[in-house]
Amino acid sequence: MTRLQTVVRWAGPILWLTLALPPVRHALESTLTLQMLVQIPLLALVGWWLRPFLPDRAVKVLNAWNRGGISGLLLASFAAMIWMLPRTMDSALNVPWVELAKFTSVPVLLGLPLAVSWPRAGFVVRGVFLVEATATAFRLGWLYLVSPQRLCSNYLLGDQQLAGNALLAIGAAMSLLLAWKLMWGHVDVDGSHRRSHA
Amino acid sequence: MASLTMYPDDERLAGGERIAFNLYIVTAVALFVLMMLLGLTMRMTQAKWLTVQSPLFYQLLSMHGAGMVGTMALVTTAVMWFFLRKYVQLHLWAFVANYVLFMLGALCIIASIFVGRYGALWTFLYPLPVRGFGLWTSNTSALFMVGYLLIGVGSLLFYLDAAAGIIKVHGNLGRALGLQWLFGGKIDPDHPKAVVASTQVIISNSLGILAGAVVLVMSLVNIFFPTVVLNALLAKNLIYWFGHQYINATIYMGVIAVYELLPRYTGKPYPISRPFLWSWAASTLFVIVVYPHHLLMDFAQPRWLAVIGQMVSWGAGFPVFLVTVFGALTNLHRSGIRWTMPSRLLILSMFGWAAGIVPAILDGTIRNNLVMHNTQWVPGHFHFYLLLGVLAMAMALMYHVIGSRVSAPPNSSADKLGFPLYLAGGLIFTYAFLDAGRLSVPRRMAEHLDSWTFTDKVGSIGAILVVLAMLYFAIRISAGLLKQPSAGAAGVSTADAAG
Amino acid sequence: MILQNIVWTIALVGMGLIALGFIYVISQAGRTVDEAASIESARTSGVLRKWLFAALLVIFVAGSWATLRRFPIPPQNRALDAGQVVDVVASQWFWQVTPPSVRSGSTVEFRVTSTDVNHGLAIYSPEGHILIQTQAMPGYTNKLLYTFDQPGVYTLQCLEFCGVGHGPMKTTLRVVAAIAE
Ligand code: HEM
Ligand SMILES: [Cu+2]
Repeated sequence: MTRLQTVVRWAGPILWLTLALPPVRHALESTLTLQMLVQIPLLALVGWWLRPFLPDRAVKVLNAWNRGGISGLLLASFAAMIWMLPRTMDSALNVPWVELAKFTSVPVLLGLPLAVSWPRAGFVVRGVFLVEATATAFRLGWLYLVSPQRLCSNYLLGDQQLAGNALLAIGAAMSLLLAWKLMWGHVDVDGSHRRSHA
Repeated sequence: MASLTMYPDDERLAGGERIAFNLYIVTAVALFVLMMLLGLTMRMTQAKWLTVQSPLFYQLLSMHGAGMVGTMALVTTAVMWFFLRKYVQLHLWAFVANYVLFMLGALCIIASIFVGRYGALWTFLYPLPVRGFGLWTSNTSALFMVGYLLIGVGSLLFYLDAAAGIIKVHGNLGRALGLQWLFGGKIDPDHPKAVVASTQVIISNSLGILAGAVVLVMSLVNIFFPTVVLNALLAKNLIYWFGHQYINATIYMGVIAVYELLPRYTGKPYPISRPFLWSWAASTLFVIVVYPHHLLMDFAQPRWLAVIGQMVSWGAGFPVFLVTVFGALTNLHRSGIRWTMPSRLLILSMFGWAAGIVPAILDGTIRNNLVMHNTQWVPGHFHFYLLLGVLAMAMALMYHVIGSRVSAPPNSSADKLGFPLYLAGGLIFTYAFLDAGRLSVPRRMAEHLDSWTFTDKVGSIGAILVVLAMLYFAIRISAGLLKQPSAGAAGVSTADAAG
Repeated sequence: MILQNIVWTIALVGMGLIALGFIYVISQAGRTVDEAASIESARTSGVLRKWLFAALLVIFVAGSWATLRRFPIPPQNRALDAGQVVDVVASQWFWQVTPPSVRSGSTVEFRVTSTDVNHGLAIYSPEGHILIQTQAMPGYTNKLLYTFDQPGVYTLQCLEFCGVGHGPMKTTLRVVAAIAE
C-alpha cells in the first residue's frame, strides 16, 4: 500500500477526530447553517470514507439485506431526517449524549449506509432518492423561512432564515444539476449498479 | 418510423403484460363510467332536476375532479407504456407498481371523501383543507393528500423506469427529444415519435411531481403543526404548476396513440420531421412555463408572470395546430381510409384537441380572463379536449387492441351507433358549459339561480347521451379485452393496412 | 356588445373554421390517388402549412400587442389615485364592504383581501353578467379599478370555491348617480 493510499484510507477517522476537536466543534456549531450544512454533511462524509474498514464478510451479509441498495438508502434517509430536525440539532448543543449520538450515528447510520448502498442502487432507486432529497431541501428551506418562532433556542431567528435560504438554494442547484445531467450529460444507466438484468 | 403493420409482433401482449394492460384498461373504463355518473348527478343538480345537498355536491365534485384526472393519467400511462416498450426496455414491475400505488392512493382519496366528507376539491387550495368548518377535519384532508403522494410516487417510478430505458438507448433526454436535429443534420427517420413524446412527459411531469411533493408535504406539516403558516400565494403557484403539468401530461401521453396508429389505418406513412421536433421542443418548454395563466386574477403576482401566462398560452397553439393536427389531417387526406372505430376515434381526438384549445386560449388572455375566469367557460374548454380529445385517444388504442382479438378492426352496428351518440352528447354537453360561461354562470357552485338553469338542462341532456355511449364502450371494451385472442388473429401482421 | 359575447363569437368562429377543415379532409379521405397526385398534394399541404404559420404569427403578434399594450390590471405597488375607495374583506362566508355604496361616473378602487381562505370577488351587473373580478387572498390586498356607468344595484358574488357556503356568499353594492357639481 502506498503512502497516499494509506492516507486516503485513514481520511475518514482523521476527519472524524478533527471534527470532534473542541475548537472545530464549537466553530461549526456556532450557527445553525454551519451545523446543518457543513458539520453534519462532513460527518456523513466520514461515514462514507469508513467504507474500506468494513470487512468483506460483513459487506456480503449486508448486501443480502440490501437489494438494490433500498434498505440502506431508507436507513440513511431516516437518519438524515432525524438530524435535520431543529430540535435534535438544538439539543446536541445542550445535552452531551445527544452530541455523542450525532457524532456516531451520522457517520454510521447515514454516511456508511450511503456508501454501501449507492453503488448498488439502480437508476430508478437513485432517481427516487434524489427527487426526494431535492424536495426535502425545498420543504425544509420553506419551513425554516416561515416558522413563526425560533425553532432552536440556541440559534437566532436570522440564522434560521439564512439556513432556510441556503436550503432553497441547494434545492434549486440540485434540480438544475439533475436536469442538466439528464438532458445533456452522460448517464450510465447500467454500469452504475451491479444488479443483473433478467 | 412507425410501421404500417396493423398488429406488429413487438406489440403483442403476452403473459404478465397482457394481465397488467387489461387491469389498467378495465379499471379505467369502469372508473370513467362511475365518475361520469357523478358528473351527471352534479349537472342535474345544477339544473334542479335532482336535489343534492351542498356538502354532498362538493364531495362529488372533489371525487369527480380527482377521480377523472387520476383515471386519465392512469389510462394514458397505459398508452405510453404500450408503445414505448417497443423502443426501449421497460420493466413490468414499474408499470405494475404504478398501478398498485394508484389504487392505494385512490382508496385513500375515496375514504377521505366518502367517509371523512372531504370537500376541498382536487386542487386542495391552501388553506381550505384545514378550514372545513366541521364538515371535514384536517385529518381527513391529510388522508386525501397522502393519497396524492402515493399516486405521485407511482407515476415517478414509472417515469424513472422509462427514463432509464430511454437514456440507455439514446444517451440522454436531450437526444431523445431530438434537440440535436433542430438546426440541421439528417434526422434519423427511425427515431420514434413515441420516444419524443414520452421524453417530454417525463421531463415536465417529473418537475410537476416534484412541486406537488413539496406543497403536499408542506400542507401536511401545516395540518399537524398549525403554527407553521404557509404563504397562500406560493402554495397556489406550486399547486397549479403541479396540477397543470399533471393533467396536460395526459394529452401528451395519449397523443402517442395517434402518431402510432393513424398511419396504420390510413395506410400512409407518417414520417418524423424537423417541424415535428421543433413542436415538441417548444411544447416541452411551454408546458413547464404556461401555468401562470391559472393565476391571472391574482393581481399580487408579478406582472411579468401574467404576461408569460398569456403569451405562452397563445404560443401553445402553434405546435398543436401546425404540427400535430395539421400532420394528422395531411395523413388522412386522400388516404382511401375505411372508417372503423379506432380511426374514427383518432380523428375525433384531433378535433377535440384542436377545437378545445380555442376557448382555452381565449380564456388565457388577461383581458378576457377578467370576465371568464372561474365561470363555466373553464369546465367548458377542458371537458372539450379531455372528453372529445384525450379520452378518444385512449379509446382508440383500446378499440385497436380488441380488434387484434377478432382479426378485423372493430366496427359493429352498435359501435356505429355509439360513436355519434358520444360525439353529439359531448358537443351538447361542452357547448352548454361554454354558453354558461358566456352568461357568467360560476363554475364549482351547487346552487344555481333559476336564470342559469337553461344551460344546465341542455348540458344534462348532452351528459346523459355521453354516459350512455360510455357505458356501452366500457362493456364492449372490457368484454373484448378479456376474450382470448382468436387463434388465427394472434399477431396478424398481414392485415390490410388500409383496414 | 359585452366582452363575453365577443369572446363567444371568436370561439365559435375559430372552432367552426377548425371543424370546416376537418369536414373538408374527411370528405376527401375516402378517395385514393395515384403517386403523382399524392406528391402534388403533399406539396400543397406544405405550402398551406407555411401560410397557416404566417397567419397564426400575425394573429399572435397583433393580438398580443392589442391586448397587452394597455395592461389590463392596474399597478399594485403604488397609489392609484382613484376618486373613491372601497375596502372589501372576504371571510367564510360573507363580505364586508365599506362603504357599501359608490357613485357612478368616477373610478372606484376596490381593495380586496380575505381573512381566511382564497375567495374571489366578482362584480355582476344588474343584468347579471360579470363586469370584472379579482381574487381575494389571505395575506394580500388586490387592487381593482372600475368605473360604473349606470346607477343600480350590483351584486358582489364569491367566485373562488371556499367551502360549502361558497354559492350563497354574495352581497350588493349600490351605485348611485353622480351628484352634479
Ligand atoms: C359525461 C361526462 C361528464 C360529466 C357529466 C361531467 C360533469 C362535470 C361537472 C358538472 C363538473 C362541475 C362543473 C362546475 O364547476 O360547475 C365537472 C368538473 C370537472 N370534470 Fe367533468 N364531467 C364529465 C366528464 C369528464 C371527463 C372525461 C373528465 C376528464 C378526464 C372530467 C374532468 C373534470 C374536472 C377535472 C373537473 C373540475 C373539478 C373541479 O372544478 O374541481 N370530466 N364535470
Ligand atoms: Cu367562495
